Amino acid sequence: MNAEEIRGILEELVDVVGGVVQLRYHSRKTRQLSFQNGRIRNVESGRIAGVGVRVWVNGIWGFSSTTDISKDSIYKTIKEAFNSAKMGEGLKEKVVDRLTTRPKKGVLRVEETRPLEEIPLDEKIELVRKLDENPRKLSNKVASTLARYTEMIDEKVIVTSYGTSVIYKDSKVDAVVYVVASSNGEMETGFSSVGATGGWGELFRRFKPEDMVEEAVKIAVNKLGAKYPEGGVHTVVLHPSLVGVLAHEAIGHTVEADFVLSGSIVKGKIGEKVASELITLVDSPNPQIEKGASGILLVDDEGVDPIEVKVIENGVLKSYLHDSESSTIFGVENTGNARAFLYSDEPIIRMRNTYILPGEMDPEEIISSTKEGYYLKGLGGGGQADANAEFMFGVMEAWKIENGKLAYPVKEVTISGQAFDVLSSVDMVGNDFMFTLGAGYCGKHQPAKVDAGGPHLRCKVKIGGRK
Amino acid sequence: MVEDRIMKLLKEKNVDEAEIFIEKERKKRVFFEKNELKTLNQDEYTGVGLRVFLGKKQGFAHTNDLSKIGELVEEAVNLARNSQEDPYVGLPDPEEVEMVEDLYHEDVEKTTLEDTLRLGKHLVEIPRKVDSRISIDSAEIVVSSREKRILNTKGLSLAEKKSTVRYFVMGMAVEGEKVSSFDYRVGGDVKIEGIEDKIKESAESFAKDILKTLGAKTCESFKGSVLLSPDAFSMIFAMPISSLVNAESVQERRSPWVGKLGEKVASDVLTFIDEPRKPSSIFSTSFDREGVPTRRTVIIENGVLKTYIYNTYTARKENRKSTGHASGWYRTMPSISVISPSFVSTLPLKKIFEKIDKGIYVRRFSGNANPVSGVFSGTVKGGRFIEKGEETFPLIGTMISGSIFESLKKITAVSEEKEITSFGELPYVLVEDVSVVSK
Repeated sequence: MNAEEIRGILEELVDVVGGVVQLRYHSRKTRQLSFQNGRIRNVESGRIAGVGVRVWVNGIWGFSSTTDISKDSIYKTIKEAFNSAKMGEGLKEKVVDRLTTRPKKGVLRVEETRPLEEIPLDEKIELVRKLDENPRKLSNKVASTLARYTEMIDEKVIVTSYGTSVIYKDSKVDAVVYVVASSNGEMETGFSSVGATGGWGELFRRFKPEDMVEEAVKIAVNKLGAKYPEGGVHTVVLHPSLVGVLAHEAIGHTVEADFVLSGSIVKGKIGEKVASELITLVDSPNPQIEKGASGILLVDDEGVDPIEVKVIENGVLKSYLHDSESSTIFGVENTGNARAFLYSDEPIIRMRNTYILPGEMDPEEIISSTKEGYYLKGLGGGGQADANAEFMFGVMEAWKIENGKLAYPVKEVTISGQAFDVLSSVDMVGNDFMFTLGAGYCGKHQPAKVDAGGPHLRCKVKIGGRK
Repeated sequence: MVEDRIMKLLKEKNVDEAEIFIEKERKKRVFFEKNELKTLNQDEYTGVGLRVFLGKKQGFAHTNDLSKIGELVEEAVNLARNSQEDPYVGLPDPEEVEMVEDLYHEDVEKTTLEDTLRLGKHLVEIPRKVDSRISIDSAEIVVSSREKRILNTKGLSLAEKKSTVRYFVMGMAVEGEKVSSFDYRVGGDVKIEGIEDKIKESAESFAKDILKTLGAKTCESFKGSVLLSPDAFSMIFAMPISSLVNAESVQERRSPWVGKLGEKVASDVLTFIDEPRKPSSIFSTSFDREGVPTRRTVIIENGVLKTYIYNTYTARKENRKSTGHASGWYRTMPSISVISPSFVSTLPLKKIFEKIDKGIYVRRFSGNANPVSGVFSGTVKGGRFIEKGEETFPLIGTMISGSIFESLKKITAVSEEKEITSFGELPYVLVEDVSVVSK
């Protein structure tokens, strides 16, 4: 069955039980290749497809899914979701009487330069082989290498009772190089990644495979013999990669409306100053600022046309991120942030591309005007946020700054702070910009492909260290 | 049966060796958000993962669309054809598998969505009854029955049914402008009987614990005793150790524990055993992702490293047998992991507290623990300051860091009390000489 035929069936069935119904067919083709230490590790592919059905009755969602795309089976699934929702009748205290939507129609496709489906498997294997092999050529300290390439080719058909009818295609792709360097019994890791929504043109828009290799090796080798940072609160210059993490992890999660309603720290703070006035923070479904961002979204998984959100504008909190239900509760426009990872996942509020807008300073000048502090770059290990906006993340690459110069590398830096305190401490914002989180997934009950970025900026954070 | 159709197609394509992994799951799920019911969900799927070997070349494909089995076989064969030779790839020889007792209860499969809802409501209602300052961000209960079947061209054919009830509750305490850290509890069982009490107990313990974290402050920075909750212990030690003893990490020179068999890697009090064959445990399984029987494996005994853990591929590289640690499901090729980590206890928790003159309790560790460099560093969540064996005040803005390798040698107590975490049922653990940075 092709997408148009599926759309025909979904349109025919969307009104069978009455009420609010969301029907979402989603087929995902994946491919993953990896090499380690000169040998192929895996060549895999997969196809996961089905229809997810959500029915909204008196404020309760009934959700069911099926892998059988026949009319009969989808009909049964709608009935099942409807009956499930009815079961919750009367159990919810705060019920809103309608959903806020902005249904989208049409055939949507995210632009791809060098589309994934046109690149032969051989060429993909060769790419990964080189990503794995080349680090060992750059340094004899490289003890172990691993390179991985992943792609997801998605096709969705979304039909809702409130008027959505779309066919939506896009591709997501990422590549990573992982290096272990070793010397005198000490072992250190280096990591470099690229990711995009689009094709290989978008994937390698900024960094070529050889740049990734060089970066991963440099990071690992530089850490050998490096000092540990001094624990405590320090002035730091954050590279765009960490500004992205800060925007996403530390701020972004606290402004997701579901989170706000449960009592996150920003509850009731709209219109208040929460950051330095140098800070404007955006979550955008299709950012004009840079092509290929991984979180591009042309329609959300409730069939809503997504819009750009200024979360913080010149330091003032302006908006949360919404789905159809939370936007009704707050009486605001639906921002189109409802996303589901697979057909069998329920759409929940997620970020898309989250970033801080560039300012006016030359990034070099930010470093040169810093007498003492650290220059921090790249996410090393995971990051995490909390209800009280106390965040933490590991740093991949770090240098001590002394008298405006990068004096020496330090290793194993983990930073932490209260996100809004940190944003209030920002006193310099660079005029550069980069999306850098494209290879990553954000986890909140289910994974989501997101991106994040920003310019260089200077602020104060707490660094974990030895006592 | 889908496996017969696949076998037939493989024969037509002259495939030398292949492995079919089938997974079937039926589940009921109730999800709560913002203190209220949000979603009632039921689902089922069947998924197939197919590994194909052409000579020494391997390909893997998976699908949940059983109407397209032809495409699945085609794809796996095509990938194997395009892959590269590796002398060590291949299938295990079939072995007799003794089934672990009591992993499947029919009453779980028969549980209705209504019953699931009734059980799940406790997760939201109990904490709110304990104190109205508690806010549940989300809670979930999933009642599932799952069957896995594995067959290969060497004649292996196995099936196992498992039933589970799993739940979590996550939230915070809010008092005026003050918002505490997140905390959560997870739990589960293989049967319905007794689950209600477990859910109530988890919800209550979650509620009481989170209230203690309101009004948190920083402490003096120091180096000293740190008591890790089961969850924090899993993040800083249990998971990194599992990676360090993974034969792939060892063979690929990503584990600093290369060549450390028989050596002391931890203090005497640490004995780490994989116990995948305990009856009635949600973490147990009779055979691994490749159909190799699971076994009790002593990994660290009184601080001495006894073995690495293997799947068939890594075992073949060392000309030995798999230890039954191939992990994964129908969507993934067999990798390696510990199945049900277990630690021998040394003291009751109360006695452990008494040992602490000045220290901190870490409920949740929000940080990173790197098994290659050995460094761990992160923020303490839901922490408490401990003086003379008593919790004195809750902590915020506090970080701990150190070396996994050094700290393993400074573990001084392992509790008798255990809690279910996402990584297994684990104890509380006391570690000395950890750097605590606060203020």
